[in-house]
Amino acid sequence: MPPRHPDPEDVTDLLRAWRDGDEEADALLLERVYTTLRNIAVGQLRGERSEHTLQPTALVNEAYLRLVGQRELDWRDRAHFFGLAAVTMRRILVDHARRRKAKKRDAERELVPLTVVTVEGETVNLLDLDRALDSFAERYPRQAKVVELRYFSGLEFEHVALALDLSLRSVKRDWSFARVWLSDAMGRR
Amino acid sequence: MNEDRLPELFLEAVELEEEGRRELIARLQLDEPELAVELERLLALESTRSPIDGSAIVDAGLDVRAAAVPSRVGPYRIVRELARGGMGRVFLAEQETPDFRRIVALKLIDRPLPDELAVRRFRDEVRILASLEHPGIVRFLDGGRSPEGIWFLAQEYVEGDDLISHAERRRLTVPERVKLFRAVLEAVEAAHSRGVVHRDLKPSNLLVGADGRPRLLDFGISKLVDPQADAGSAGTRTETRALTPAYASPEQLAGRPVTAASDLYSLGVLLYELLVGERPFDSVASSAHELERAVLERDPEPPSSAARRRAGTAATTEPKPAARSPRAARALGPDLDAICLKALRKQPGERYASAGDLADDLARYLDGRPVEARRGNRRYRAARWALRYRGRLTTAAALVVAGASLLVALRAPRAGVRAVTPQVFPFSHVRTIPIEKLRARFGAAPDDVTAGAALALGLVEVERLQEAQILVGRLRQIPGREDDPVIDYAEATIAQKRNEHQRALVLLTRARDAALEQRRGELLAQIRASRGYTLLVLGYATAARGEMTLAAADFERAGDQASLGRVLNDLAIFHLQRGDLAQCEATFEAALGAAERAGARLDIITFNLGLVQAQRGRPDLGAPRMQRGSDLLAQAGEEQRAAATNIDLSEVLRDLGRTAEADRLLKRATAVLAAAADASVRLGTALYYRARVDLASGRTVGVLAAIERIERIAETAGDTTTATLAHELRGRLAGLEGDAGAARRHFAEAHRLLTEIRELDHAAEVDLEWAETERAAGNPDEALRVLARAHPGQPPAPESPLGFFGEILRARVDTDGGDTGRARERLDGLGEDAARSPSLSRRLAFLSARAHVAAAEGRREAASADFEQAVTIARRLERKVDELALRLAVADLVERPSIRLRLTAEVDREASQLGLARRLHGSRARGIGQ
Repeated sequence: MPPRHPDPEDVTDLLRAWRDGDEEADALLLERVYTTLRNIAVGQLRGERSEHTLQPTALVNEAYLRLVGQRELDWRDRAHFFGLAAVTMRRILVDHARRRKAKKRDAERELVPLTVVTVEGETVNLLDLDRALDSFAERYPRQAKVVELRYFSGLEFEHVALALDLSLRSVKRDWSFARVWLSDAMGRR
Repeated sequence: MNEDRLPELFLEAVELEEEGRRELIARLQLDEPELAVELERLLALESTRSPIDGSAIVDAGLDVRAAAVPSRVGPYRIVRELARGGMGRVFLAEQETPDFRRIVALKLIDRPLPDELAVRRFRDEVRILASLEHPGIVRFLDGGRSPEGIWFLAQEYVEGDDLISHAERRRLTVPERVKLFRAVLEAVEAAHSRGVVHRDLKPSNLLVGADGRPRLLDFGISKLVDPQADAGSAGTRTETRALTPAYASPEQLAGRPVTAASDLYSLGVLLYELLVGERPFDSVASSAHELERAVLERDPEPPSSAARRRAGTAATTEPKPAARSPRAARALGPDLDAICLKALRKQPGERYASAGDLADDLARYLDGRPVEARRGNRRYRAARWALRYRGRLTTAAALVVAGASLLVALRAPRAGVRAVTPQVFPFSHVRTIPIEKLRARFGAAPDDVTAGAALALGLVEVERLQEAQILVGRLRQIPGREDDPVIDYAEATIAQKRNEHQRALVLLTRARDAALEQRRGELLAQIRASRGYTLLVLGYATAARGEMTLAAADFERAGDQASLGRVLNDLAIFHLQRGDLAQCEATFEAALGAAERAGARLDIITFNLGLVQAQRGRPDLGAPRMQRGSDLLAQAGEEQRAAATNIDLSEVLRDLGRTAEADRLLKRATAVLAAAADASVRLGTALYYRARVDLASGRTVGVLAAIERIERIAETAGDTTTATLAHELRGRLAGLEGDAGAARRHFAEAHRLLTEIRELDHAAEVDLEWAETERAAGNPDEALRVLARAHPGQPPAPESPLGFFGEILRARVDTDGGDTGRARERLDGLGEDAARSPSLSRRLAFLSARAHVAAAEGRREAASADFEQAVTIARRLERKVDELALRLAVADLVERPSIRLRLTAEVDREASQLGLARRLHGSRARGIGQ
């Protein structure tokens, strides 16, 4: 049977194709996720009230809904989706941080957030974190994935466990290690 | 470095308690030191906030405050960003009013204030700060919430170098630096008198303008930015992150309330840095975590000694050359030392009461008047030197630790002494009950964990460890009782017997926690006592003391005098290791009292008490006590232990001049130990003493063989302490042969090993011997350096060996250097009775030193008299080497050349017979008498 090209509009199709080893499908997938996420973010923020905040989980879930809808996804596909979403989120935020750094002013023009601000009011330098995470991923790839899924996608431990096919305990342990390692790496800059 | 192991190691360490972690890291340091460093760093961050701890909340609307640079904040127009600090960002801004234009430094606070009360407090603070007007303090102008909703603080904008850089750049001399610092103090005093505390004094907050005037920045700001900093609550670690640990006071780091005294501490650090070129603890702490520990626990190296150390390493180019030249280093004398150290006291109450007081004392220093910091506590002043008793009395063998884990055989209470209230600890009587009975009891109740543990402990008593271990394993399988602390306790006791102290510690910690949780009060005291002992053995002295103190209190409450006596014995040893001899003796007395009341064994405690008394310079009091203790041990059938104690007793007898008796005793004890077990550690100690005596009397022939034998014992037994004995002997031998380099190597190795196993008091003794060797070899600076290192910070008790002989050594160095006035002062400080001390070795040292001073001052008669007396004592002690050196010194005093030559020739002849010629000639060539 001749290889069927997946429908680029159909995410489930793309996912299936990816599972069959279609790399092009994967690239398309990434692009779809990226665009969707960004659109959602922009849409949410434009209609802001001053207290409005954006939760990564909401973002990712929203994207999931838009792209996959009610259709049933194999857990592996879902895992892949969330993985992509995490990577995408990271790219979005880092890109913007980079752009903001280049321009000193013009903050108001930006639609998508500039620096990631954590609850306590401390600012995390996203560019540094990005770099640190890259280094981290080189040595400890699995733990880095956990970080991506939890920090950028905002997934709970249980969901991370499902997505990566790890035990809950493993995920927590990986996280426990990752947070000090990154703390250390960022503190030394 | 094998990074793959890092996650698993980290996760393992995180599960452990402090001691377990330390143990893990120590082990790791041996195999993979780089990994150990990483691990430690990571562990330190465990309880701090990580950048990925929150979920990323993306906040566009309010992000202006974090990311964007506003163009205006109220009446201030932003020009550019100046800095980004821990509290927020600082901008250069301009204020334009109809009357003038002003440049300000504008701090934007990221953290919003939580409630009305906080806002009110904020405004109050702002008002107070704005009222601070002093030329030395940067003006605080305004603070509050701008119409745009941004919280800000505005200050006068000042440019300049920070204090330290300024001093560097202008190459200020020590007096100039002190004057500069006094200007700082003036400003601080002004603020303090209005109730404003700075809380974050550090060089970057002390700017010096072109006019040379220092100005203080950010006074009181940290309180505004972090309102919780005042509440005294430790909060989470991140809340105090704003603190610069190097300048923070101990109470600040501990999260306790901050007062003006905290500022004085920080000022102390600044003064230190200004004078020395580095901060206290810079040389010993390489991470923030270590630094914090050091600030809280360690004593700082005196500035003069630090400066000398830095001047000594002149080979490297150092970025901060303050006071680097030896001349400058010498300008830092004991006065400035005292001032700095007083400012750096851990207890706020012990520091200077105010900035003004500190300034006054500095003024006195500049004028050459006596400084307050040095007065008052005469002991503090005199007891600056590490002194060494000519005889290492505190050996592991001698200081017999009662081994609080197991119970003492209870003899029947003496007539007239009533049996004390029932001992609540369930295993009190284990030792007195025959094994069969214990086994029967357990057999009748196989699910009774307590009965099982009792049997296990009984088995341990009779050294049937394997059986006990198996039993413990079985006990753990009793359903529902796996967590019973009694089992852990029993297993820990087995581990202790096997010298697996680290394992014992883990088990005891678990047992303690379980006992606390299950409210098993009757077990708690004993577990604590046991744990305290284990901590002591492992070298965690402070933790040990804490545990043992708690245990002692518990025992006292329970009326368990016997256990109380044992734990007090161990506590006393803690004091000894800290060099606190007075407290040690008092605690031993208390232990003795408790043991007597309980009708328990007195042998060990009696002996220990005598030993301490001898250590404090009273061998006349100590010897009979030690004798009694030894006899009691022999009576109780403990031959080996009695022999071990006799070794130390022999030293003390020797010090009393009872040389023949001492020799006999040592010989007999050695024989007993040698007969028992070849590789006995105690035997090593005996051989060491013999060798030392031989060296002192010039009989070097058998010494090498003895050293080798000791080394074999050390290797077979795997005992580090014994190994250090060998090193020390080699050092002494090398010194005697005139090989200073070899001597140095061996002493350094001994010191290193002892420090590693935390036998710090022994390490200090080695240092003293080392220093003496250096001095005799003609290296006074080296001698002083080693001496200073022997007791970093904490001054030893003046009557301790370290205190006494160290002072004498310094007096000799002073004399050698021509400063006889100083030398005489030191000797006077030792007290009138020094010349008549019951300890002959002390008497000898003192008279010899005094004689040398007199000789240097040209007072021949006085010198002769003292030398002659010293010679007599040396003869009595059979210290040939000392005797010959003294006789040479006597000869030097003689005016008639013919007589002088004759005397000298006599000495040379005797010396060459003993093979000592080279050394003596060597020291004479340099004009330094022995």
